[in-house]
Amino acid sequence: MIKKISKHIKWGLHDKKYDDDYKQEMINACIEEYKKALKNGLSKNDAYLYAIKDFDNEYYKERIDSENNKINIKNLYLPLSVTIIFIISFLLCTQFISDKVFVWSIWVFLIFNFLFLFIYNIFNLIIKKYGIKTALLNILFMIILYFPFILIELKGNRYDFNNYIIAFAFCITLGIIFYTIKNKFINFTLSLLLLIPLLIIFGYYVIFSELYTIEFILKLLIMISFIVVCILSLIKEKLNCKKIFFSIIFLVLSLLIFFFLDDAIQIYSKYTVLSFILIIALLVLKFLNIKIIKDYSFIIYVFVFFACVKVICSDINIVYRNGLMSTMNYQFLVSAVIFLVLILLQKYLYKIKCRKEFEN
Amino acid sequence: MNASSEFIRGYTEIIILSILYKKDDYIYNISNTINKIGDGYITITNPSLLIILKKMCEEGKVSSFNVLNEKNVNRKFYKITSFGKEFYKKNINNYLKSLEKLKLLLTMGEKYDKEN
Repeated sequence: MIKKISKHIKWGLHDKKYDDDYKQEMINACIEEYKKALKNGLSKNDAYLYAIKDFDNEYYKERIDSENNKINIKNLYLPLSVTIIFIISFLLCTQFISDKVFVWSIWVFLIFNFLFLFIYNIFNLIIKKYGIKTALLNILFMIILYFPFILIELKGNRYDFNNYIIAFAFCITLGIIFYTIKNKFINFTLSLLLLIPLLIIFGYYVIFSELYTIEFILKLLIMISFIVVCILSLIKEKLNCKKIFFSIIFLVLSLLIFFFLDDAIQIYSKYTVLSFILIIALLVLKFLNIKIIKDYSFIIYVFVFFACVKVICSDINIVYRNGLMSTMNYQFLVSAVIFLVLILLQKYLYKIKCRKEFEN
Repeated sequence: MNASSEFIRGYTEIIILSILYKKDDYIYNISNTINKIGDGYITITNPSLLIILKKMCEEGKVSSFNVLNEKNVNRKFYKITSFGKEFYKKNINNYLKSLEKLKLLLTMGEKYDKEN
């Protein structure tokens, strides 16, 4: 409950005009009230409501107003990204572009995101929202996220979509691992420092060894990471059903990715199944409200979606080769609409959740 | 609990100024003083005290400074400023008079009962 109070206060005092000292003082004051209320015989929930009552009276309206009115750089990001999605979707649907252009569009998107997040971090550093350590760590993390894409370039399989799928899966895995490590286990900086040599070693083998393909190495990394996260979550969160459920899903996923998907599926390619599993996994994550990594989850979402759709469409294309080519466009449009509805729904649900938290 | 914390509304600022006029103090002591003298009829919670003190700091009525206590932990003390003192002196009589009038208004019903 104390953690809940602390989270509540930090959410309410989001504005940079409230310094960290004030936030901490407010948290302490509310915890003090919470303990007092418990001593007076109130139930845990009633004590919590009592402790935050005065805080809410003062800051609830302010926060909701700012939620409704704020126009900041981050808000511009979503419409901008959606516009780009629409442009690429349109190009894809009209089938005017070749695979080459599609891959280039992915790269343009990657570079756009990299530049955006880079500028965003520097901007936050300038306005002193982030400290130098946070900004540098964010930038470092972005570079690590781009690692598989750089590998694809170095190995020269730029037009193999399967590699992109694996690369996206790698990004998601990294996100999940960082989220878990950052919140539960060891120091974030330390984990980054540990991961960099690991990536360099893997990178070395992938680039200079003929024996290991990118696909193999990344799949291996994904499987190991999933299993590590699952075991850690199960050890640490043995009483939390949500976390156990989440762990089991990823344990099953990791086994599927590594063993089952290799040559088992005939009609639809293994990558289509992998794509479906990734989409389902992302949806499960979203609806369980487990954030992968705040600033990156949306980008990863978009990447996965693009690559998956492209692979799925290729499969459908093969299946309906005899005169039913339009099915591809139909499938793509339906997927695009579902995707956009999901984004909007997720944003709407998040707003409702925040309001409910304050109104109860 | 709810009703008693409502009674203090409107008077919190002047009460805080009155306490700080006597000596510099930290938040938990201020709330203890109010709750002790209030004797259950008037109470204030730490979060609302903190909110008001922040507002008063911004208005220049009080200022804060840190003091290291015996456990080597920083404790934030609040001090009344000269503007705060001036505000207190200027308004204390108005507040007291308003309390008298409030008493008259509150006891109107009681008096009516007695007269009839």
